[in-house]
Amino acid sequence: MANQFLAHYPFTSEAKNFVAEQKIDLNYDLLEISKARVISALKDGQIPSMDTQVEEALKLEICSYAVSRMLVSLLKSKFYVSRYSIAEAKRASSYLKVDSDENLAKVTREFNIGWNKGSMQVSDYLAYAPRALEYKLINKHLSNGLVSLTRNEFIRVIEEAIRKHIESSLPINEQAIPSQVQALVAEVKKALPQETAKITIQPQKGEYAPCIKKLLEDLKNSENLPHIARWSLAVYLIHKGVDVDSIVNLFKTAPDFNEKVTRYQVEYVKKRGYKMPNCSVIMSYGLCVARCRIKNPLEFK
Amino acid sequence: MEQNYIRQKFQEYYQKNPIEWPPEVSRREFGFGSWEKKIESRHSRFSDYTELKNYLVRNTPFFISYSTAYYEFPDARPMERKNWLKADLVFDLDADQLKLSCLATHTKDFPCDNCLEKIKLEAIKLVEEFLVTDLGFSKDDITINFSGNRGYHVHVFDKKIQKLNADARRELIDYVCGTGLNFDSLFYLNENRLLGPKTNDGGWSGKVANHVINLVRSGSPTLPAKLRKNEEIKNKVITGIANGNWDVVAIPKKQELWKNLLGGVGVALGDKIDQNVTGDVSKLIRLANSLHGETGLIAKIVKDINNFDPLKHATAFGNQEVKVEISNAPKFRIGDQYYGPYNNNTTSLPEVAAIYLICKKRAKLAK
Ligand code: SF4
Ligand SMILES: [Zn+2]
Repeated sequence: MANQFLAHYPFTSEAKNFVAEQKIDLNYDLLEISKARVISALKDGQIPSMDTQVEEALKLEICSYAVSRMLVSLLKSKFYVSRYSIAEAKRASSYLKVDSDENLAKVTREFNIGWNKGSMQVSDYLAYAPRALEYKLINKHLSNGLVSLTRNEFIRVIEEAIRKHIESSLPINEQAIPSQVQALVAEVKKALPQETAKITIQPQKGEYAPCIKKLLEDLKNSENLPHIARWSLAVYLIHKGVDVDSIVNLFKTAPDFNEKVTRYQVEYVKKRGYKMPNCSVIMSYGLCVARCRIKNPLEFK
Repeated sequence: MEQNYIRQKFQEYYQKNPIEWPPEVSRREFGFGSWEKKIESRHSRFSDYTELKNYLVRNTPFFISYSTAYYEFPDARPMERKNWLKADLVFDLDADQLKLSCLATHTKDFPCDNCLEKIKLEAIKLVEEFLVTDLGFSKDDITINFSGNRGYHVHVFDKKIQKLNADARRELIDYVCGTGLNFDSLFYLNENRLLGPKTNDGGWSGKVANHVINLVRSGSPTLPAKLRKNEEIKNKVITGIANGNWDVVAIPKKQELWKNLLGGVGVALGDKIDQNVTGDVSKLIRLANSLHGETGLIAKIVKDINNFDPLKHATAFGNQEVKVEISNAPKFRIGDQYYGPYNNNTTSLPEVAAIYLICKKRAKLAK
């Protein structure tokens, strides 16, 4: 059924056309569904999947994406836009994992990304690969400009493409948003956790290394730090004797924050007692912002 | 006086020779260097080839470079107002980074034949093994330029990668340098057998397998003695690795051992490519076929890298005798001729060698 595809992947141009042709009826059901979609994306970091074949329900689902985008735009927060885009992308990717190859190809065509016999173009890969050690180009089989990936790895890359696509299309112009949707904003805001006061941590003495200061700064501005950056930051702070709770709190401002996962990861870093990588390694991660003439960021005074 | 002499010589060169210009010249930022500084001013723009050529003939800077990036407003400043559109990919290779032992005998100002040969092999490796075989770039989109001093600039003009941001470019550099290789994902245990890279694997996996086979074959001393003992063991190891079976020789803690051994592969290819440069999307790079103010050599476009000898093929000046006072210089070569070493000598040299020394501030025109 065509509509199921549109409901699962409402960011595609096909879905967009569908909504444009529809006269959206901003009825109670649609508004409520949209509100729930946004709240769950922003609060829990995910949007529950739903599986219906009922035409009317599918239609509501498709339209709720359009209304959700309006709602998120009205919140006027880069952090929320980013967090919402991540949740939408995750939702789509969970559908893709169980979907047909045909539908997968249809979605990827949206981004001009080809997927052929288990490999994709290296230029596309570099544009969208997540920044994590196992996705580093050097750890992939690469030959003649083609990167070999498993289907799920490929979908993870597509998830990133979807996220970027959605994020770059937001916010939408406030003037174009109907008053019924505007009326909902207060309710959405109320349902969200009070904005946690931006946490700052200070070293007991001296200063943190410039690369670390930059990461803390980025976090405060709700930049979506790559995994390797978060890991480096956690390792550094643990070595500096900062407790797990404070570190977890720091990450609250990350758009894809999930308390349980973050706590687990920080505790894991502590338990494993990772060594702080040397400046040369931090440089290769692209995180070095100064040339401090020291070997390891921990030596910075 | 030396400055004027060199400027006049450079001017003659620019009058007589057509210069090269990069694609979409009007979208590039240009920078110029003086007698003292390689880049003294930047943020300039030329609308076409004639304007650029006229500038070189009239103003004759000692260095000229242009942005690997294309901008909407190349002459706007600060940088953000230029509006970055895209950028070519450029690798900067410099013999200095090879840290060869010969460096001690000649200082980095006078790269010797060994330095120049080694860095050339590096450029060939970059192009053949990495850019073409692995990354799939077409040779038509790759140009190699001599830097004008002791290295090469490898340009990739491929539309598909022009839009990549600094992060993505860094991934490419890491790939080429061997940074961030994850050994845990190369090796895995299957029913207590250690399996790993095979020779016909793509990417680094295949490189690692082939590298170790070469080490075994040549009996490299970095290998444990056990693996070097006799041909039978060697052959067993080689066939094993070719098929991805890394379990063929029983060595305690073998995974650790292999890891350490391979740790060297990444680093060896590692520092050799200037990492900071390629990831920088606002970098300036020397204009092809322009003169280098520290050598008087041409930043020549290399057509046949295998037979290219910069000290022969990138010279711009002739053999007319010039009398110079030389403060000091190690033995060096220009063309087929060796000169020096010098220490407070006054002598007549062919113009090309005299300019080489004057540009390096090792000689003055004799009265
Ligand atoms: S030099 Fe080291 S400590 Fe300083 S910013 Fe770079 S990585 Fe951090
Ligand atoms: Zn040398």
